[in-house]
Amino acid sequence: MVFNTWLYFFFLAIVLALYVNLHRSAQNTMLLCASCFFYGWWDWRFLFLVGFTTTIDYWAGLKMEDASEPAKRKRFLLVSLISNLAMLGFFKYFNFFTDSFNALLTSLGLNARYWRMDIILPVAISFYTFHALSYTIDVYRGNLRAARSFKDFALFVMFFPQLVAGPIGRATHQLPQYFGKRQITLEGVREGMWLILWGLFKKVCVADNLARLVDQNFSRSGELNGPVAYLTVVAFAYQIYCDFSGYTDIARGTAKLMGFDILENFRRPYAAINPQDFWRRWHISLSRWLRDYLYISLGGNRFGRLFTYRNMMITMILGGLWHGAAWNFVWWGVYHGLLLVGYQLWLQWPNRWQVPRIVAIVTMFHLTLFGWLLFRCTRHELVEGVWVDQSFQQILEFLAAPARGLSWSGDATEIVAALALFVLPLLAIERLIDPKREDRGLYDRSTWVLILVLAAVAFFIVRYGVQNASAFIYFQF
Amino acid sequence: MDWVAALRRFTWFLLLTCVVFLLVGELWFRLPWTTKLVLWEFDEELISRLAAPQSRGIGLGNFSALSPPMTINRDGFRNDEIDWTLPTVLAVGSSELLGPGVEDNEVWTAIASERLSHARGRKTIVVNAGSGGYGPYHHSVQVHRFFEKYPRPLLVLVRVSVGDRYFVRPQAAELAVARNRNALSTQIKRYSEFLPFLANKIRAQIVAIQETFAEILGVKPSAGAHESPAVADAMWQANVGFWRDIAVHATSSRVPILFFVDGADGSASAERLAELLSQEFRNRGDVSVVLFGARDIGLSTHDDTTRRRLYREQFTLGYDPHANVRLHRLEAEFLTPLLINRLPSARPLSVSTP
Repeated sequence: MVFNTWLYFFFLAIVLALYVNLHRSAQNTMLLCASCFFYGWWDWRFLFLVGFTTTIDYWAGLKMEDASEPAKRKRFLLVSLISNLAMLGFFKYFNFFTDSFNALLTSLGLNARYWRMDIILPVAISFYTFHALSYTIDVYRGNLRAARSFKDFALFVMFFPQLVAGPIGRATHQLPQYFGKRQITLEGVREGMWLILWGLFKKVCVADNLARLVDQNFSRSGELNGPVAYLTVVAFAYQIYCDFSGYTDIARGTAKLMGFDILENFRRPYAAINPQDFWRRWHISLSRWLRDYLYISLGGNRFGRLFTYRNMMITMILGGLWHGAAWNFVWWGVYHGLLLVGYQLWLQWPNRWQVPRIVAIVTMFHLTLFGWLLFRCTRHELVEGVWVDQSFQQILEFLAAPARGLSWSGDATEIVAALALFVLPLLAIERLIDPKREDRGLYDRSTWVLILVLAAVAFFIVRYGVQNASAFIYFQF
Repeated sequence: MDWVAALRRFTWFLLLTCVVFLLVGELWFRLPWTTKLVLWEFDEELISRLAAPQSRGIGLGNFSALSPPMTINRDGFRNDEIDWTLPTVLAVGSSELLGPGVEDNEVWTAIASERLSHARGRKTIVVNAGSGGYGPYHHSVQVHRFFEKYPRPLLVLVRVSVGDRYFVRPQAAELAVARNRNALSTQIKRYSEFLPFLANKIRAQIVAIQETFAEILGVKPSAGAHESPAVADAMWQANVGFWRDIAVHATSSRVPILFFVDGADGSASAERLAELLSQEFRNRGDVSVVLFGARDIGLSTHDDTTRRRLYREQFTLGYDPHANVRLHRLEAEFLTPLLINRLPSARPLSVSTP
């Protein structure tokens, strides 16, 4: 069930109608059933997998809290970590590792026996695994008391607005909301409606319209000239931003309608002035998760510069791999790790100069663009019956685009027109929103500005929204 | 009490937003560079609408920013002006033939015109007389009119789709209602360019919602959906007279007929309809029937559910069930050799320009 479909809005209407007429405990039961239905819509068999993860983590949490010895607590944490990561590893990475191993053996001249399994990737496995792990790690660290109610804990893992593509919830922030009393306020409803509308605009107007041009041009990367190749990557940057942040906005808006607060995930990422700033603005829930549970666990910056850089690289490579079982995501992680390390080195350089803010933003945006090129180039071609990864060749084709010419063409004009039509209104409206109170949208502005923007956004959705229920990019992760 | 006051404010706020929404839409549609809706004219005999001659714009279904406008020429047919001294093939059908949501030069009739001309060594035009909401009755009227007004075509192609069964012969009693509705529509169009678009969009949402719940609730599926052979039998009973009429009218002028049955989504009803048409005209050398089936678009090996999903994802405009560019190309590839074989040769077919 995808957010940008009628089916979802009918489903939401039924859930809301039931929700407002039930008391808290019954609300949680209903939401859990609704979440199971929502997830089971894709493939009900994977509900057992989520159920297994939930049960193990619930049990591990209780055992950790009851255990007095640290060694015992650690054992239960390991049970949770191993079971979660083993499932993630098997379903998401098994074929990637066997394929890579086979390729390595073949390149060494050894006759590798091709061995892979037909594994279906369960939707959202990366999201709910990290979501659940935040709970067991926080209980282990003593930051959180273990959940006593299985139902409430299961709802924390499976809450339907954020189940499929995040934001990756933090147990310390969210679990208390399932235990405590919630209130539906007019302000919350207003904010929720705004976020849903804004998210829809980002997805069906900006992301889906740009997607057609991006997909078309990435499929013929060997023919693009310089300006078209450059503009295609710019268009992809906005496509992926609006696709993912659009999902997040709808998820947060849905939760707000029911009185829940979900963590924010984006804060105008392309206004970042350096790599560190970028990760404070892009997929915030993932970067915080990686910082708190991986980077700090590896030692963070406590053991000298070299260890800090090593930890940064490991964190970013695993962060890249989290996105998908493919080498392009690994290179994307390596690239962002290098950017972070490079930025740390720059900060320590005594003769560094003050970069004007606008130059820093433009530079960072272009560094991000190269990252998106690594991320998006995923071409596979069937050669003699075997799928061969051509991602690297595709990257080279893009980089060689200026050599194919720098003349302006109709294709370039088409992308510029699409960017002007969709991205300019996006940026203009984003500028009107207070970045510190993003979920309030434009409610701090005058009523007439608010009315005008709401009407314009609704008009754009009606006039230009692509209605083909395309899935969100981050669903595959 | 606070809630009541807040709700009242909220209601006013929503109302004002709706008014501004309409104003924004109206303003936007009047900007010179924005794409307009294609104009329609009411036809008393058909009790239906026809695309107005020499209009250009979008029409029917769900369209996004990238939906291309259609060009209607001065004769009311899709695409460029037609030089009537050249040989033509007349194609009649519903909106599936008209090709909304596809560029003028990518509609299968345009592609087929180019290929036919190339193969025959003489410019030959496939006249796209498709129109939204037209069924067999409308096609028969169109064929009659065409023969009266324009030079005799080389061939008449009738595009038959099971989805066209909803487009039945209007009753005389409906004329008054249709006239009133048309008068209202004309009045609205005189003052607003956005409201017709909005109405169109709302109608498309009804289709989208029906499609969403069709399988779950058993709601009547829209045109193009998969249906059983019994549907074809019912359609046959209701429309066989019109198809016979087309065949008689065209062949009496010595113009061969090709019934092109669209069954690309693999529906059993289309196969049945093609079978019934073939049986009806089996002894007629000047009438032929072809089925454009799932195998012609590479979907025949899939199971029923997968095939329908793939068909929707890969060959339609999404929620809008009309064919996309890919399907138009495949139709052109499928039909061009059939047309070449049925047309008198302008020169040997084996000769081709390098």
